[in-house]
Amino acid sequence: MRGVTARIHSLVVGGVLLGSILMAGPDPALAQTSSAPEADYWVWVGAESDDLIHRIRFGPDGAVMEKQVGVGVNPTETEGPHGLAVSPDGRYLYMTTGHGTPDGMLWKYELGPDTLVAGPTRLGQFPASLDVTPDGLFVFVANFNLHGQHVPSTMSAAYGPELYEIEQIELCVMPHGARASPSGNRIYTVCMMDEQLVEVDAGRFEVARRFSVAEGSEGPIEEHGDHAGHHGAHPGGGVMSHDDLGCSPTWASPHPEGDRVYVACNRGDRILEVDLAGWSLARTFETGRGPYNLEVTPDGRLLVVTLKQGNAVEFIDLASGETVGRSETSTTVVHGVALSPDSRYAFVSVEGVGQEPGKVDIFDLESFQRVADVPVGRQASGIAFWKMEERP
Amino acid sequence: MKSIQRGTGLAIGLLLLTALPLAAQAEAELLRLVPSLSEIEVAVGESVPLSVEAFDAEGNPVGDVELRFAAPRTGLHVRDGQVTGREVGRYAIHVSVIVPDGPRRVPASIYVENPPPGMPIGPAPALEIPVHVTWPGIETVEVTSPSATFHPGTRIRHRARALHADGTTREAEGVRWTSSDPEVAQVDIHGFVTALAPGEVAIEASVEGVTGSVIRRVEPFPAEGLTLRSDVDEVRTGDVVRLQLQAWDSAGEEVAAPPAEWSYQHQPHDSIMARGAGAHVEEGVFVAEVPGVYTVTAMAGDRAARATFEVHPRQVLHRAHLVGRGEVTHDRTRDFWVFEGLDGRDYAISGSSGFAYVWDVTDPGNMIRTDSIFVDARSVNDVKVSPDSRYAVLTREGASDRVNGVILLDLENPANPAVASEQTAGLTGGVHNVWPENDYLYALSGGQRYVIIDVSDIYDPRVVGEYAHPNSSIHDVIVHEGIAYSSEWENGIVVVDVGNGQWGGTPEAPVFVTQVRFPEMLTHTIWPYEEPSSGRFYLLASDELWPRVGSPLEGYADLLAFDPETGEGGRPAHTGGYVHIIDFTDPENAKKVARYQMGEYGTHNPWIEDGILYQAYYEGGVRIMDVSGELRGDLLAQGREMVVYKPYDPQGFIANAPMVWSVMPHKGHIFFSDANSGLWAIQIEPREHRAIF
Repeated sequence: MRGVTARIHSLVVGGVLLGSILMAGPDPALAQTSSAPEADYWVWVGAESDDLIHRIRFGPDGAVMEKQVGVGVNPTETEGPHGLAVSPDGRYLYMTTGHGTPDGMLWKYELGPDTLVAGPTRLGQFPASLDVTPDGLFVFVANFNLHGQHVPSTMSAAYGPELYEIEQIELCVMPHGARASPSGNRIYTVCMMDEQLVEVDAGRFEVARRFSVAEGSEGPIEEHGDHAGHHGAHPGGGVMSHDDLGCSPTWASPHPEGDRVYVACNRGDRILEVDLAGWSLARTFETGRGPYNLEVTPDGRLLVVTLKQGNAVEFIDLASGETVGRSETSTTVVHGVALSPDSRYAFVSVEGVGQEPGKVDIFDLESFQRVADVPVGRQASGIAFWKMEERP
Repeated sequence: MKSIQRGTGLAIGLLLLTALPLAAQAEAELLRLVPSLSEIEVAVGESVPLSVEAFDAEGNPVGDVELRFAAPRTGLHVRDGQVTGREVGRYAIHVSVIVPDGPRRVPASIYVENPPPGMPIGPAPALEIPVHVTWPGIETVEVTSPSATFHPGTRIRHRARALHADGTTREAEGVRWTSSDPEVAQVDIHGFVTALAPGEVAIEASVEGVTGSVIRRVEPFPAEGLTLRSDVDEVRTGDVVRLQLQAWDSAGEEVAAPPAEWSYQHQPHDSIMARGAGAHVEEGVFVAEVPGVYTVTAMAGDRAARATFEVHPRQVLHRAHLVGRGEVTHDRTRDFWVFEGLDGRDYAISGSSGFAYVWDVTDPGNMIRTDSIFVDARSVNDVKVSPDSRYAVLTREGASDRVNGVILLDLENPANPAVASEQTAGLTGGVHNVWPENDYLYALSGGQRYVIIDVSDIYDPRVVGEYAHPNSSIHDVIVHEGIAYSSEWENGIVVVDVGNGQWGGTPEAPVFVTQVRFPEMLTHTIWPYEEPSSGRFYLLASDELWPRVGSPLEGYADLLAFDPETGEGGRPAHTGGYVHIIDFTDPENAKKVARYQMGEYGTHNPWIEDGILYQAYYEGGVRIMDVSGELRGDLLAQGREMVVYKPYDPQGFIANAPMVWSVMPHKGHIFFSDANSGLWAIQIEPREHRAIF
């Protein structure tokens, strides 16, 4: 599939629509307000059911899948590349594969030659999302453990230069997502089946704080030994069923200023803004169906939210707290989002179903329109921004 | 010296530094970290203290620096100023500065005092302290030998094992062997003890200054004569000969046989061109790989007994021809199952990427695809049919909702099966393999465990039990006479009573029996095999090994189709691994007795019927082997291979690249699935009277 040039939709220079919800596809007949990109942008995306990672370039010439790299050690079994993260200097791509024997793995590629340079390093069960600290030294991976039994799982801390695992930090049931604070001293994750936001101390490799995201009882959770991690947010204790979950958080990501973190309530169709100084709920934003992943633009202006069940991407203005755009994706089961450093474009991975190819949809962050989409391998999931180069 | 862990208030100093003008800040932030130990040696289970001091560019101590200590958790642990050894090896501790919270910024640079080889002098991302974790001290040395009875002239090897205070052990290296009385018995550097004269002697083994010993009494030789009894004079390569050593006193009465050393001599049929002798003899059990005349010798004391017999070529080669195909070239084919349907016709179901295909194979020369079943899964890895042909089960991995599980098909109309139900509870991590019985289905849940499902009503399946072995690494499971044998990669085989009754297990309450693990095992699939002529019960454990790193032929490990735009893909894969044959007749004393190993190909799924092994050997094709009789040694070298058939398809997913996944004999034909080209049926031709070598 390498070399396939994807559609790039009609781009019209214009103003920015704010304050109204847009449900717009890429039809050029619609009033488009996007300007053509003046730079080239590259992202990497993983195809979980094809054991492939793809390099996508988007620029003035359109969007294209430039390269694909096969991953894993056993090509007859699906190892499932799930989480991708690029080191802050852009030299390395870290990737997790979820399915192992049974533990999953952490891998490290040197970008440019796109060569495996370290790993695989065995982590926990179904290592999924990951992030790299700003100094490039540490990698934190949520071991999602979706194997069916509701047992506490962990976050792996790894030393990036040599890719060894330092610690497995016990968190809760189904920890999902991993995003470092701007300083790299804190890692944020959520517990899908325990209704928690968890802050990890990245210096001591241990849980720092927990926050209940259960609907109606949002607030700090006091640590009581082993009880805080699992079922700590359940009003009556005991094992939670999916029906108990009013939030079912799937992602947490901090604001670039480092003072707030945003939590996606996938089941509750809302976003929680948590104030980090007060460790308290600051605001709540209602969303479309199934917010899944989210990121804040580097300029701090927008919150970009993937709607997994809603098959769309939602854009929230953080100053007003209002949704300013919602745009359909090119196929179904929306997954992750990576943002360009100039806060101009959002790159969204969309899984598709069955034999459908996955997609990388590209959205203009001024018009909130989908301006291009690129077919990739099946079940596109983890996505990471690599680099941006201005055209001369 | 400062302690390793510091309070959060200690970061204030750097906060103050960041308030300086940029130029001054850059200089002020240059730190030099100096550890209390430039390198560390610590034994497993023991701890040593470590601290690190920070200095600024002028050499002044910087107290308010918070440091982060990283080390590989499998090897060592660093906490609260202590470094504790966990596993023998060479590691490093990496120390870095924790920068204060705030907006995104780069960390302080660090100068490393006495950098280790390979680390640049000057600013570095972290201080590296080499650590050598050593074995704990030896507390005792244990000396063992297969026999405690000695007679003059007898030679028996002794072995030494070191025991640590924490209960762990290691094979001793650098052992110094001594005999307390060399007139009675001598010992060489390998631990071979040769008895010379009656008397008592201590055999000592010293390791790292710790000595262990055993007392051996050398008794007068008890016999006047020795004989070797064999029931055969002529055998074929691969036939196991069991020899009995008999000892006789001067009155001609049989006495207990003394311990003996066994060896053999080989005279090839063609003394010039023949291969060198290849045979095994161990405690009187002999098997030859190469034809010729063999003399087996048992030496005891100063006497010897011999037995001679002739070994002929096994001559089991057959020819096979293609009967028919069910082509699948647009995608990779995975597992399949062939069966007689309830309507009396023969069918096969094959798995693919998101589809299961149903084939009418009543006429194997004209396979007809009768149905295609869409499955919300990127991989239908396993397909199996119940023994009563009532239902089929499809496994799911990569479902769009990540719920996965299995699909049960009602085979009342086998040409067009209907989906009876889905079972996802406890199976969300993906189901790689299953084993169906008439009333119960054993389904893997990820790589952790297997779930046992009552499928007496396939429209209402119910989970009734499960088995999760500690630190499981499960890949497959097969149930034979109420015993579940699970394949556990490097953990070998886990054996569980799920209804046999000998150990009290039931599907609702499985009972662990034993675990079988030998070096080199990467167990992918098990096949239990009761060999009727010898009465032995074997487990054939097929590996799966990717990639072949470290072997002379490392090859490729991708299965991408050829892309004409880029010229990439389309390369045949190279796999490794072999079949380990384990004598499981006594479950408490399992022993690896034989192997079936091709040097350049790797194994996948096996099947055994009527003394014949049908082995899917990936790029090595279908390999059909005579496994009749007792099994010992190298089965390939013994000439037991009957047929090798490689499927070549120039239009294949990868062209002309055999990649055989599974094989099943059915009504005189041999069906197999090939990942690159779909279903195949071949037939073995009668050998008749041709000599095929």
